[in-house]
Amino acid sequence: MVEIATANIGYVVAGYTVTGLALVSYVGLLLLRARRARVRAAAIAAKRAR
Amino acid sequence: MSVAERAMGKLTARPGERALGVLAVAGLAASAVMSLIVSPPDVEQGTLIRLMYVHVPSAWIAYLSFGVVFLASIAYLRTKRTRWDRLAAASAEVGVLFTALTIALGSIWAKPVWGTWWTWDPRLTTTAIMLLIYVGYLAVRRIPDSPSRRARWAAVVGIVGFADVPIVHLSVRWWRSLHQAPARLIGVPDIAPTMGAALGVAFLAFTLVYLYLMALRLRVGRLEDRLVAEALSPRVGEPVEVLLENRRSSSATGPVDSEEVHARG
Repeated sequence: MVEIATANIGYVVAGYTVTGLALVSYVGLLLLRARRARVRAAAIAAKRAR
Repeated sequence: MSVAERAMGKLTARPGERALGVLAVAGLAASAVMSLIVSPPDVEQGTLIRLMYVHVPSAWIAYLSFGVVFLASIAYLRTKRTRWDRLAAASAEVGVLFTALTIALGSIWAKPVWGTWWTWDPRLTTTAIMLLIYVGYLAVRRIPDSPSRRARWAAVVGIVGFADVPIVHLSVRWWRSLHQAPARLIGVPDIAPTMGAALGVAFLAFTLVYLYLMALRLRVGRLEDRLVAEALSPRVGEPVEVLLENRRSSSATGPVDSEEVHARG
């Protein structure tokens, strides 16, 4: 039973790691895109104000 | 404003987005406990069955995403409102992520069970085609063209491309497939109750993740549209809100985008 439970555990770890990395990377990318858009919009607005 | 539009507005406001983020993380934590600790190993597959709790919900989110693309594309063609186009674009992007994840997880699961990372099985092949269709959809959205024409073309691809989704789902019934048929969870379930509960929690957690990602992606879409409006505005000092309002009020006469408003400006 223990043998069944522990065999191939590397594949399970790989699966959950891939899932976690994909979700965290995508959230990070979206936050970066939001920040970049905000900063660029602010820069354009500041240029106009001058 | 329709009920769907009002609900979308509430969910994508900053407090709604934060609440969804918290709920999604809590859901994923609960799902991890259920999948990795509570759920017993399978008699045949042992601990590998735990991959089911991420692979199957990922596939569900891919279907859900492309269903939203389909409905939002129809809504865009009917109303010409930019928000529907933005919703379709956001959902397609999330759908592509989850389709790629589904294929990657399926591959990791297939290696020890089937002895190969990939095989041209009907389910796998139709899923790969689905990924290509929606990568194509995202490519259409990047074609340099009038934003309204681009949105129209994207909507057509979003509607036609959805035809592959039921084919993917039914492929295991229509053709001989290595891939197992979907487990029955409603009525008389054909999986153990603990496993069914873990799968249910995983479905809920991934749905919350989808809603959170959509809220975040829609905010990014709005900010990027606003940036375009800022960059293209020839009227120095005019607040962006006024330009966006112009766009909304003139949308009754046809599909008008920020670029077009400013080109006329």
